[in-house]
Amino acid sequence: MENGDGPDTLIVEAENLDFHYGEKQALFGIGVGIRRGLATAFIGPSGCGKSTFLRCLNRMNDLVDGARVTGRLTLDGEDVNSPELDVIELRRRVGMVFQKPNPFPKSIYENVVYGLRIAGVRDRERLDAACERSLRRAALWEEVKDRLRESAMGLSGGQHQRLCIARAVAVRPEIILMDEPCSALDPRSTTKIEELITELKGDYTIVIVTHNMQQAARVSDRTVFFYEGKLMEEGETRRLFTSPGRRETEDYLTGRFG
Amino acid sequence: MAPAAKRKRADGRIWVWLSGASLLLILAMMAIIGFLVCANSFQVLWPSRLDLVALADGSVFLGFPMNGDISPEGLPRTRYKVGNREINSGADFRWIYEQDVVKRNHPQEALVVNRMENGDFYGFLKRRTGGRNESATESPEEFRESLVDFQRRWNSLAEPPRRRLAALGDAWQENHLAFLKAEYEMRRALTPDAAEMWKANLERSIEREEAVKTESERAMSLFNAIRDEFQAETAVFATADGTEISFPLSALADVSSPNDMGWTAKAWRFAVNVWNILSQYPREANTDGGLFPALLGTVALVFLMAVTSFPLGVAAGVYLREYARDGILSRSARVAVNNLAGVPSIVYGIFGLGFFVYGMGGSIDRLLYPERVAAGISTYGGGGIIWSSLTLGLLTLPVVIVATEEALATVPSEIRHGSLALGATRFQTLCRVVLPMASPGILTGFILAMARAAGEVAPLMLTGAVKSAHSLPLDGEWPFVHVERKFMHLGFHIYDMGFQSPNVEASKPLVYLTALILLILVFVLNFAAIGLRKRMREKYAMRGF
Repeated sequence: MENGDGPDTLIVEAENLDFHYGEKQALFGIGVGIRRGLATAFIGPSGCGKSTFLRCLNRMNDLVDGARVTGRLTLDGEDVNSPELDVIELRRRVGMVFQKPNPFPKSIYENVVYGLRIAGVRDRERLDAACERSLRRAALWEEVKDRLRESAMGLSGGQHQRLCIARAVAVRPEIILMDEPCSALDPRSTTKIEELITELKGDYTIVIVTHNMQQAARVSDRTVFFYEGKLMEEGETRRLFTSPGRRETEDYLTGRFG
Repeated sequence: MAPAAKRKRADGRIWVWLSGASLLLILAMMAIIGFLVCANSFQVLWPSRLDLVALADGSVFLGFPMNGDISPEGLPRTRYKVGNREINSGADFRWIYEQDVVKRNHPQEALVVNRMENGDFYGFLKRRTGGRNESATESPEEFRESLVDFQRRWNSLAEPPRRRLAALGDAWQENHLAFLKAEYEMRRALTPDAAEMWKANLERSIEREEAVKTESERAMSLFNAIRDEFQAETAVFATADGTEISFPLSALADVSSPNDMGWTAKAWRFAVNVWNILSQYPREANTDGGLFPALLGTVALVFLMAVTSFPLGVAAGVYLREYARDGILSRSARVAVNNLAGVPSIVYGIFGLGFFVYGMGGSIDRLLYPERVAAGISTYGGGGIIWSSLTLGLLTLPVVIVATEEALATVPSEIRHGSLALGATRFQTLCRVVLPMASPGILTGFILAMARAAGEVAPLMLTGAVKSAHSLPLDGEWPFVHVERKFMHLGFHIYDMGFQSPNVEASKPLVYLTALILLILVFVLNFAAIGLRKRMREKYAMRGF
């Protein structure tokens, strides 16, 4: 463990976490700490379990039949998998942006305030303020401020993804999970999203799953390398990319498999 | 085989032709149906020319040429609608050999007189007797105005006693039911006090019955006096051969002189006829008059059905797709629903009769109105619009369930996950995102099911549709919707007029007209479905996915 791994700086802690899809085990004894306010990248070849682990953090895996978790996973010291934990509350604290932009077929405004509305917020002014704040945070305000009432379906792919980020930001989560947020986007939109991530971190803890190692190097402070369901290596991004501690990491980074 | 022919077979051109020809065949059949229905309906509505035909034997008659053919002896002949049933010994139609026809012309003053009874009369107006302008000779146009004036006077004077009589009839009916109840309860009373009370009720209702009876007789005689007075006003007509015949004006529904009409007059007449058909009650065992009760019955039936089947079907579809675990149970439920869609409608009718009418209706009657059951009067247990609509609802349920399931399946899981990841519950996700997105599909399926239900007849014959209903399922009387009443239905009306009528030939055009109205109703429903789906699609468009 490196310096500064106190309980205050770690927002998520996993210890000996196993995950099964029915008979198939997808994660083996994951132990990792995610630091508050930083951007952490999960990298690794396809099927290595990085997305599965990401979905453990907001329990989206609950939706999968036959999913089973053992081990310890805490958010701010609270057990995420405890039966007493309110999943709805957890998902409000841990927002998520998906691989494929998935705006709702509603107006731009309604998309952004969706999370607040379902939480029961009715106050018009609060909703308006949240909408503007979130769209500004997602660097989308200038582009859409004159057509908030129009359907979100009329936006471009990159705008869709930023709208999804605004939607996640609107409920003021502590963590934003991003599952390959740029894989469906063109290079220019990708750059914008990357800039956005850099801006958002600090206020939010960001966990990003990516296939793109340059992207991980550009946006993240820390990197976790997964391989065949196991956590291989974890550390400061620059250190991990320049002097990987393990053979598999080096092979992956140099493109020997992937 | 020659290479060219081989290539021709291989490229499947012949199959393209065959499939094109199949489509053409279907379109041609649809065009034929549409043409037949429209042309025959048009015949009822559009005033055509009345022929005055002189025959070789010196006789003359007035009539509408209907259709012609070659007789079995090889002679051309024409079928005329000649009306005047009391003179022509009841026959409305007559075949005329072309070789017998000496002359045909179209006298402008020839009249078509639509009567309350006995169908049409074709002839000439001679004079009017009784009432104002006694013996005045009037032009057909003036006579028409006099008739309208007469009908207005007649209605304004006769309507109040007529309404009074109807109200008294209802009062009698109500009192009779109260009498039955009092009698029944009195016999069954457990305490002397209760028996005493019911006995008082019984005596009250007997008294009331007497009062209603006297009142009815008084109203009846008042009505009869008015009627007799009006019956003194008559019009004398002559048939084509000069026989004079007189009718009281009150026996006439309408007169027109089709040979004296220009295009605008004919168009106006057409519009009036359409309105009359839609707004009037049938006359003469459904062979004449309008279709209003059948139209209202059909619409009311479809809406009652919609109210029951839509929420039930959507809820079931939502449960099957969104909540039920995929297992043997849910799979067999799905198979059962799909099989249900293939059950013949008459089977639903039998089920409706057994379960709804006899089972539920009978139970309601036994519970609420045991005294009526004892007297052999059924209220809910004898068929009614509610049971018909429930039966139809059951018949359309599978379609609604399948449509709902399929529409829900088209909503991408990314969208659901997006909502869940924002802290929405499954129910919130369903209500706020999934159902709105699925609504075009659900609505389309549902409205198509409604259109199918509007044309369904067989189950209705068993559960409450009748050839002639004396009251409507919707009227101005509390509680406005009378779900226990029997009703008339366009589809059943077609069957009744076409196959059960005493005068099938006379009602044939009306059968086509009824079919046309039913078709229009179904088309309107379908177009509504298309329009609605388009709007919903625009609103919840999935572009970008």
